[in-house]
Amino acid sequence: MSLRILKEGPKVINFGIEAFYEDQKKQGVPSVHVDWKPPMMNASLMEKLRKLQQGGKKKI
Amino acid sequence: MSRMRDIRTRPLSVSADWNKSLEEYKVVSVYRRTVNLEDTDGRRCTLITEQEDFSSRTALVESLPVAEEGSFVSVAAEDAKIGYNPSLQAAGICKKWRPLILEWQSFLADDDLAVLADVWDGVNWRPLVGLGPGLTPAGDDFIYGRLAAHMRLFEDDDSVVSDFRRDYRRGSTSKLAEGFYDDLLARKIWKRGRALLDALAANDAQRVLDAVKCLIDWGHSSGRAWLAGFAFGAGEVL
Amino acid sequence: MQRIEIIRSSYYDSVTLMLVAKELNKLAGVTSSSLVMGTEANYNILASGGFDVDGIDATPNDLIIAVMGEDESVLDGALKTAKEYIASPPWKKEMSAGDYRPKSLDGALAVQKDSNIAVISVAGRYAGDLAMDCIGKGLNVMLFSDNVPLEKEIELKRTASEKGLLVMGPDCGTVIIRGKALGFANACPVGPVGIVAAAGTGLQEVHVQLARRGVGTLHGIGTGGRDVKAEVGGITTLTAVKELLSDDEIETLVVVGKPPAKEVEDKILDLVKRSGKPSVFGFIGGQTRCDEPPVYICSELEETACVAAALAKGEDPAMARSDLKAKEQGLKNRAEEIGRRKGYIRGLFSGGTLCYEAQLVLANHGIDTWSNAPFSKEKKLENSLKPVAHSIIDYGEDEFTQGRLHPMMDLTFRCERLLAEASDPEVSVVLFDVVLGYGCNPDPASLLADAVTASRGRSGDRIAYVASICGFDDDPQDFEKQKKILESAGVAVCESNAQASRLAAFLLAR
Repeated sequence: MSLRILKEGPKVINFGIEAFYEDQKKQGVPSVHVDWKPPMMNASLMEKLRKLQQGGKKKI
Repeated sequence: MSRMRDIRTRPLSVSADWNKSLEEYKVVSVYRRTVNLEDTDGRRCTLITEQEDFSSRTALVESLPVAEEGSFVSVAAEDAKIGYNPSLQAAGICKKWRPLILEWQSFLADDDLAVLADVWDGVNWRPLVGLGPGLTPAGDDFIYGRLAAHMRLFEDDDSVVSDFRRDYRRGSTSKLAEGFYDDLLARKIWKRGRALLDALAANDAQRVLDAVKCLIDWGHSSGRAWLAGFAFGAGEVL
Repeated sequence: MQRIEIIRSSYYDSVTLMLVAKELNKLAGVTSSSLVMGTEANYNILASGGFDVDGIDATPNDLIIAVMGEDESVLDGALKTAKEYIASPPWKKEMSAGDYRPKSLDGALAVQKDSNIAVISVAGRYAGDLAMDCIGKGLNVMLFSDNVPLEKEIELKRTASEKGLLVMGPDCGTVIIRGKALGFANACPVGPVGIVAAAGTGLQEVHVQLARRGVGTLHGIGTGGRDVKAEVGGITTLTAVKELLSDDEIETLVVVGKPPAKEVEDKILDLVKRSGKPSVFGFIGGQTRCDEPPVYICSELEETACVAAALAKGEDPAMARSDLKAKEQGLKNRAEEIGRRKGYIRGLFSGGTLCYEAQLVLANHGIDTWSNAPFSKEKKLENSLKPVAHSIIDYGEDEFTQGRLHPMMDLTFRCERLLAEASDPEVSVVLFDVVLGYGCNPDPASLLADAVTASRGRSGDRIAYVASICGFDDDPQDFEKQKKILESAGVAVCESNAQASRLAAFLLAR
C-alpha cells in the first residue's frame, strides 16, 4: 500500500480554523476552505430545506 | 414637460438587443452606478458604468449623465460596440456541480430572506411574487433564478416555466421587476447570472467561485435570493 | 459587579469569541469579560477569573457571556454590544466579502475534485463524524481537533486503514507533507528526513533542531497522542513508519513522542531493524534501550535531532551526542551568572511534548514536579489552576482548550498566569516555551515579554525567567527579532527546550 499523498503533495479541504487555510495558500498549497457549521444550527430550517429539496425533485 | 435634448450620451458599448435606431429616453430612476430609462415603447433600458451590470437593453457609458427623474436624455449608440449578448442558450449543467449548487439553497436561512423561507413550499412560486426586501423584491429574484435554471436545461418551456408563463398576473409586482420577468421569458439573462452559467459549463472552479461571489455582492439581497432560486431550480432538474 | 448571560444551543468559533472578548475589554468601565461554552472546565476558569458561577445552568452547547464592570449601565451596554458583535462582527466590515466558501464537503469536492486530505479543526464533538465523512470520500484526514472520543478514533483509523488512507490525530497539531506545513509548523528546508510524531511540538522541536543543523525534512506525520497506546495499537504510526521506510526519498527516519505501549514499540523496532534504514527514536522519557546501529535510541528531543542530523550528514552520532552534552557546562556557568536561588519552579507551556520533556529533564536533575499532564500519575495536580511546589503546566491540555483557542494562537491566558505566579513569594524560576511558525500567534515574544516586565513589577529580581524558542529563521514571526524581544525583557533564551529546562534546573539551588 502506498500513500499517494506523500508523492502528490497535499491538496486540502480545510474545515475550522481559517488561519490554517490562509497559511496553506501562502505556501502555494491547493486548498478550499469550507464555511462549515455544525448540523444543529438552524436545525428546523435546515430540515425544511432538506424536505423541500427532496420534494422538488419528485414534483417535476 | 421640457425635453432637455441637450443631455446626450454616447455609450462605449451596448447589449446585443439595444435598439440603435432609438435615441430618446425618459429618465425613470437614478442610482449610484446605474440609471434606468424608459424608451418610447415604455420598456426599461439601463445605462451602466460597470461591465458586470450588463443585462438586456443595457448601455455601458463612461459616466452617468446628470439628469433628474422625469427628464429626457439622448443616447447615441450608432457607433457603440456590442458589449454583451443577453441571450440565454440551453446548454445543460454538469451533474458534478450539483452538491455545490445545492449549498446556495441555504441562503434562504439568512435573516433577511427568512420571509421567503416562510412561504416557499418547494413548488408554488405565487406567494413569492413581489415579496420581500430589495428594490426588486427578493421573491422575484428567487423566481428569476429558479426559472433561469430550468431554461438553461431545456430549450423549450418545461412544466415549471410554462406554469409561470401561464399564471403570472401582471401588476403583482413593481414595473421594474415585471420587466425583468418579461426579459427572462424572452430568454434573456443578466450578465452576473450568465457568468455563473458559463463558468459551470467551462468546468472552471475558480470562475464558478468568482461568479458566485459576484452574485452575492450584488445589491443587498438580490444576488443571494437569485442564487437560492437557481439552486432550487437546479435541484429540481439535475 | 458582574453580569452573566447564557445564549442557548449556539455555536461560535473560538476566533470569533476571542475577538468579541477583546472588543468588550476595550469598553470603558469593563474590567473583564469572557465568552466561553458552558463546559465544566470553563466554569472553573470563570470562577478563577473572579466570576461567581453559582446557579448558572449552562450546558456545553450553550454560550456563556460573562462581564465584570463598574456599574449596571456598563454591564447592560457590554452585554448588548456582545450580542451585536456576535451577530455581526464589526471587524468583518474591514475584511472584504471574500471568496465564496463552499458550505459542505461535497460542495468543496465539486470545486477541488483531486483533494487528497481534509484538515479538520472544528469542535471535538463534531470532528469525529466529519472525519468519517471525509474518509468515506477517499480523503486522508489531519484531525487537529481534540476532545474526540477514543472509540471514535479507533473506528476512524480502522476504516481509513482498510481504504489505504491515513488518519493523523486526534489532537494532531503538526503535519508536514513534501515540506508543506499543515497546522502549526515551521518554515524549515526540505531534505531527506521523515519524521513520525505522536505530538505536535515534539515534531516541531525536532524539525527545527534539524534545520538549525542544516538538515531538511520532507515529511512529518503526526499520529495524535493516543495512537501508540495499546487500544489503538499504533495504526497510524505503523502505517507511517512502513511508508517512510520504503520511501526512497527518505534516508533517515525519526520517530518521536512519549513511549509507546510495549507491543507497539516492539512492532516499530521490528519494522525498522528489518529495513536497515538509519533510524532514530526519541521516546521521551522511555526506558533506556541501547543503540543498535543503524537504529539509535534517544530520550530528549534535541538529542534526537542531533543524532538524526549526524546520520543524514554522514557524521558520527557519538561525536554529535558528546558535543551536545558538552553544552551542559555552559549552562551551569550561565546559571551562576544569572544567580542560583532557592524556591520553586513554575513551567507555563503551550506545547504538550515540550512540557513533558521539561518535567523529565528536571526530574533527571532531582527536581520532582507536579503537572496537569504529569509523566507519573502520583504527581497529577488536583487543580491545574492552582500549581503547588514545583509545577509544570501544559496550557494546551483539554481542560483549557474547550471552546477556547489553542495557547499557541492566543497567549492571553498564559500571560495572565505568568503574572499570577509573580505574586507567589515562593516562586523563583519561571520556565516557558515560545512556539513560532505557521498557525501560531504573530508575535508571542512581545506578549510574553510584556507579561514578564509586568511580573517583575511585582516580584523584583526574585524570579529568573528562562525560555526556549521553537522556531526557525524563515518563520513568519522572524526568529531573531522574537529572541531579541525576550532578551530585552531579561529572559534567558536557550537553544532548545531541553537546554532551557536544564538551565532552569541549575538555577534552583538545593
